[in-house]
Amino acid sequence: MELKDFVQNFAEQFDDTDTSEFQAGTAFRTIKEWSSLVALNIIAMIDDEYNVQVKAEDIRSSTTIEDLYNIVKTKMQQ
Amino acid sequence: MKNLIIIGARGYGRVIYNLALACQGYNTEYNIKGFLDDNTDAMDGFPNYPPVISSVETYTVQPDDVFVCALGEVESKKKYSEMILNKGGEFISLIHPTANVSTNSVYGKGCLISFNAFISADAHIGDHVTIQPFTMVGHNSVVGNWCHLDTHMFLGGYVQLEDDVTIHTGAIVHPHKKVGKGATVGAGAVVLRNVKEYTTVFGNPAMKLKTE
Repeated sequence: MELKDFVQNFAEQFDDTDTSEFQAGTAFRTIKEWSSLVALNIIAMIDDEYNVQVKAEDIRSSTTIEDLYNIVKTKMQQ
Repeated sequence: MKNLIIIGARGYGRVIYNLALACQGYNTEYNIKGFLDDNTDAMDGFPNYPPVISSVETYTVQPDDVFVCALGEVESKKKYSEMILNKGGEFISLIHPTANVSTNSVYGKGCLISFNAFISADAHIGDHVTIQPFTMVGHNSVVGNWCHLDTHMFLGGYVQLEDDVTIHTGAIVHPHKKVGKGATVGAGAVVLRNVKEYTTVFGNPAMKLKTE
């Protein structure tokens, strides 16, 4: 799993925010389009792409996209 | 007067015969000549229908013939329609009088739009698209060629379906979402994310069906 691809997959869950706004260090909750529906879509994307089940709590405890990437990475190794 | 020929004489063929009877063009623009099906006994036990003429493979297209394809599955609909197209056959669209096609919405050739289907404003529907009863196609949506939209499915505004997409019964596609070429959305699925080409998604929220 590459961080770059994870950021790309993360960005694709947004309809109206330009992908150039997404970096590994982006604090995703500050993005105007962020919503509970986007959060649900992120959980579904991680399940589809990485076969890992993250919980709402994992999203809550992450600030940046890279934080969430690290949670997914850890769960993949379990 | 044209002669309408229905490709497929099975259950769905008989449904489309009834659609053809109900449409405005019946007895004014076309009469119904019969069915093409490789099973010539397909109408045994079903009275009151026109005959099975021959198989699609062996049929020779006549000057006044027009065609519709009553096959429910995208792959076979394409295969048998292309056989007739390659012989120079012309396809027409059948739109039930209770179907609503709103302002600026357009559809191509060979479409079947069934009763109480609602096509909202400024939608663009391609060729050979099957739209079943009680479906709702959102405003400004784009539906590619050969798509199959089953009963009670809903497309939100600005949804884009590429070619060869199947949306099964009762599925919901959220506004602005894209469904890639050849993808299938399972019955009752709620599509909240874009669907990649040639994948099958199911459930709420719709997820890829896993093969492992």
